[in-house]
Amino acid sequence: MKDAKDIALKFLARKMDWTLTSDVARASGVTRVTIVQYLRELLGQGLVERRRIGRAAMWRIKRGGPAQNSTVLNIASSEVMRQLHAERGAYLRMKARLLADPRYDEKFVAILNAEVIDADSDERELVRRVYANHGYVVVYVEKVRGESRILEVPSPERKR
Amino acid sequence: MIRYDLTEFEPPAPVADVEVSNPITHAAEKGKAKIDTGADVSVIPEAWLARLRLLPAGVLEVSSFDGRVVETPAYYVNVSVNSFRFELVKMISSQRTNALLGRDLLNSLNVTLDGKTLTIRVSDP
Repeated sequence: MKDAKDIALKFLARKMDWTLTSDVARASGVTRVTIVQYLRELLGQGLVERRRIGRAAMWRIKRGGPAQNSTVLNIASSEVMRQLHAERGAYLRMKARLLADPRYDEKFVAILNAEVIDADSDERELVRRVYANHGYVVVYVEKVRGESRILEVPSPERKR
Repeated sequence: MIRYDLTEFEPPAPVADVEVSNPITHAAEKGKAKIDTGADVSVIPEAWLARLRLLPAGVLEVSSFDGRVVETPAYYVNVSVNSFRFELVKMISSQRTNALLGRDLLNSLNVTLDGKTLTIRVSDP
């Protein structure tokens, strides 16, 4: 059960935005009643913040608090890179199917939890929607096309 | 009109003021960016990633001057170039102290380089 509390804290750290109690419960794999208990403990420890909108409670990681700066939440962590490459692996496995599907061919797709969650011909609109609907999470965005493109950043620089 | 940077680059290089921010938290870093018309994509210093708490959202294959190709994480950021704003620009990072402005951003601006007077003009057509 303590794992669920850690999962909730990491989930809120990655989202970095106000999140409904029910969404935290779903991400942590426990009931709403249980997660409220954990979130209250985290609130008491100064790790998260709460605000109420009507009858609903929303939570987020406390800005500048100890959790935001802790090493477990280091954004350069290998866990973040592992997530990115897992989503990329999922994209590469489904690429042939996406290319054959007129809904996705030559469009940008967003992959989250190994599934296509959204697609658009406008990359910025897609990313804007993904972050609005799913929070600030590790996601894989790629244009569906046959050949991958190699970008050039060729400028050599002299060390002074 | 902006002066080329004579201190960090040899020969002097055209630079612009940039502010790069996290699109969600709006945490921001300010610094100089070298104008690099040879670069297909813009680059931020690796040290900014942690300070802006950026999360990767893609992988780009990038070729350097010697032809070596590496796969590197990409990040969506908001960018301001001499106060011209761009939202959700896909950028990469590298171990450098200043940013690079590639053609992904430069092609949206009117940039005039005057090597004789070592000055640069940036405007939005």
